[in-house]
Amino acid sequence: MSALKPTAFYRRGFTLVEMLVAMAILGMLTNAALHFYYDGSRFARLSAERAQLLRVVPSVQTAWRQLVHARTAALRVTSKQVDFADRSSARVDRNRLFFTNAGHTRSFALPRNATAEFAQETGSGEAPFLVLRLNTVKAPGQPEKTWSLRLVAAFKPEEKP
Amino acid sequence: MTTSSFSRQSFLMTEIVMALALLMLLSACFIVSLNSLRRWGYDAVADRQALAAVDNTLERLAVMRHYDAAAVRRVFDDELIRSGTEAVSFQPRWKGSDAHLILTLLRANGKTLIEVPVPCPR
Repeated sequence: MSALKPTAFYRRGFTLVEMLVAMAILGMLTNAALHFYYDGSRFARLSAERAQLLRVVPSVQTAWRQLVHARTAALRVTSKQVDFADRSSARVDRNRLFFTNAGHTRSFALPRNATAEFAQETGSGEAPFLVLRLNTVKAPGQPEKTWSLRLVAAFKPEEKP
Repeated sequence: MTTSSFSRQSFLMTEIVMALALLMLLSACFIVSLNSLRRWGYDAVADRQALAAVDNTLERLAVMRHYDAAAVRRVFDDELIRSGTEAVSFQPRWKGSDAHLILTLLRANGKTLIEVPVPCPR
């Protein structure tokens, strides 16, 4: 019969206060664990997207400058597209960049949180030049800072007679 | 040699306190590591922006037939400002003569990020 005798643990049970304290501690630990998990996973995703964007920059810069260096001016410049007189162009469609140079198109995939835009700018005493700006986009509720990268490409100087 | 109810309870309390302290220590280590990684990421972006500013400066100068040291500085300052707020934390230092400028870009901690010779054809 001694084996069936209830131990002190089972006899005593838990009081309501003990249960509440245990649940409160469990809740705090779960909250902290979830916070760490989401913070860590968001950081990992942003790091991967940043690395993807920085990895594609040299190729984009080369294609962008090859396109602009061969031409003396742009026909039309908008934030989404640059057209040249010989039907060559550069355009951005959602997260993809397209460079059409002499009938040959190259495309580059940007990360999901990145966009690109074109602009024509002028410095003091300088000829106009084109700028491709790669921007990161701030997601709702995301505390991380956004950043952008300017890629300048100068036109081929016009030959003076 | 029997253990009283009171001492058993206090021993359990010590365990709980130690466990919570260890948990807080591990959490603090995790947060500090995450913040360090985040700061390194921002530093990598800032470095890339500053290098892009130097590269863009050389690109703009390449199509100018004649420029002097003042023009180089003006174009570089313009690029540094337009490149984004992160790159403003870099400090440019100019060395050399007007004909052969050397641009040194220093990080906030005084270490050199890049040193570029910029010839100035008059």
